[in-house]
Amino acid sequence: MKYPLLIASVVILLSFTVGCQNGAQKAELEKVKMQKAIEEQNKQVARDFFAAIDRQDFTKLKDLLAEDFALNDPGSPVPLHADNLFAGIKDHYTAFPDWNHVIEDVTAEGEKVTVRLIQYGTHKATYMGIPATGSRVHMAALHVGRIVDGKIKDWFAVEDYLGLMTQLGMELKPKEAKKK
Amino acid sequence: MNKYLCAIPSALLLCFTIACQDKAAMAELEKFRAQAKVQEQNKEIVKRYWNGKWNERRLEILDELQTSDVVNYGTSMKINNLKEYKQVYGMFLSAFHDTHLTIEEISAEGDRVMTRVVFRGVQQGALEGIPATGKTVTISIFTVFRLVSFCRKTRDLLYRCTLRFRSTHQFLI
Repeated sequence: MKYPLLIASVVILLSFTVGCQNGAQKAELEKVKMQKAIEEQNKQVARDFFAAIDRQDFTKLKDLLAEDFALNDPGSPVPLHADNLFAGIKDHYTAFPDWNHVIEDVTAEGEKVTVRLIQYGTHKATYMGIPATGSRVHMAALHVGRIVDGKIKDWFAVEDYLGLMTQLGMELKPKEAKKK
Repeated sequence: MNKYLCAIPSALLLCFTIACQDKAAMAELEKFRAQAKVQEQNKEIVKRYWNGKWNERRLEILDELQTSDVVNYGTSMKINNLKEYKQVYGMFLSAFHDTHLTIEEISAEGDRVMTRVVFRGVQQGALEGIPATGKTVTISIFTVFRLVSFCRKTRDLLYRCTLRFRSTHQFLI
């Protein structure tokens, strides 16, 4: 009479032990899955960012940027803000009305997203002092962003301006030696 | 008496159900863990590469860490294989002295690693038509590496596989 009860309780205890042992690993799995999901979301935010620029959709852009968004531009000693970014985009699209971004690769780890892309456009109005050439140009770029809670906190862009300027007819040459 | 006998098989069934359900979860977790491990290994390879190239200045680092069909996509140049890479690297090695490289940022996903590094060097040798200026240059380099498992047949006909990078996309400022 005792034995079946004893065996039953041992078996039940065992099943709970097995279940509990995997609890910690299950928690780890959930954490990893959530991290992956966030990384995928971040990649989509980056894609949406470029799509919004292509469409000149400043409302959407504002929505994607955090309150304290900072744009790190190699040409500027201090980070720029959303309005600087928008002004820059407007200026660029005046010169290249059909400018668009073709994303080649997106990588994400944690909060950071790296986007490798090529941009295309036609030179229809004066750009950086260069009058319209009508040339169809391309410019490769690498953008790295930090995305927190679905909003872009900061952004760093490296663009092949040298390549672009060369296509617009400019050339690089040594500075004139200041003699005499 | 019969009641207890019925309890045992159902308890056993419960035990097996719980254990089996976890097998799928365990397999998935193992997969993620393995992927994370490869990503960390990839990052180590890239760190070794940068260090070997500009801090240790060792030409052999290219043989060690690149595949023979490695391709570099730079903004103004494309390098098509290991042999060309060595030539280009050799050229920069002789042009720049007192080189130092710092890795500012490194991240990985899947088979790719992204780095932002700062290169500093003194131009003491001619470079692509520019005579030695003695000037110190500081450049930020953004690179996306794609790593693969590179397998070589060794003398005893075993395959030895190491991780190497097969392509890089590079941007300089």
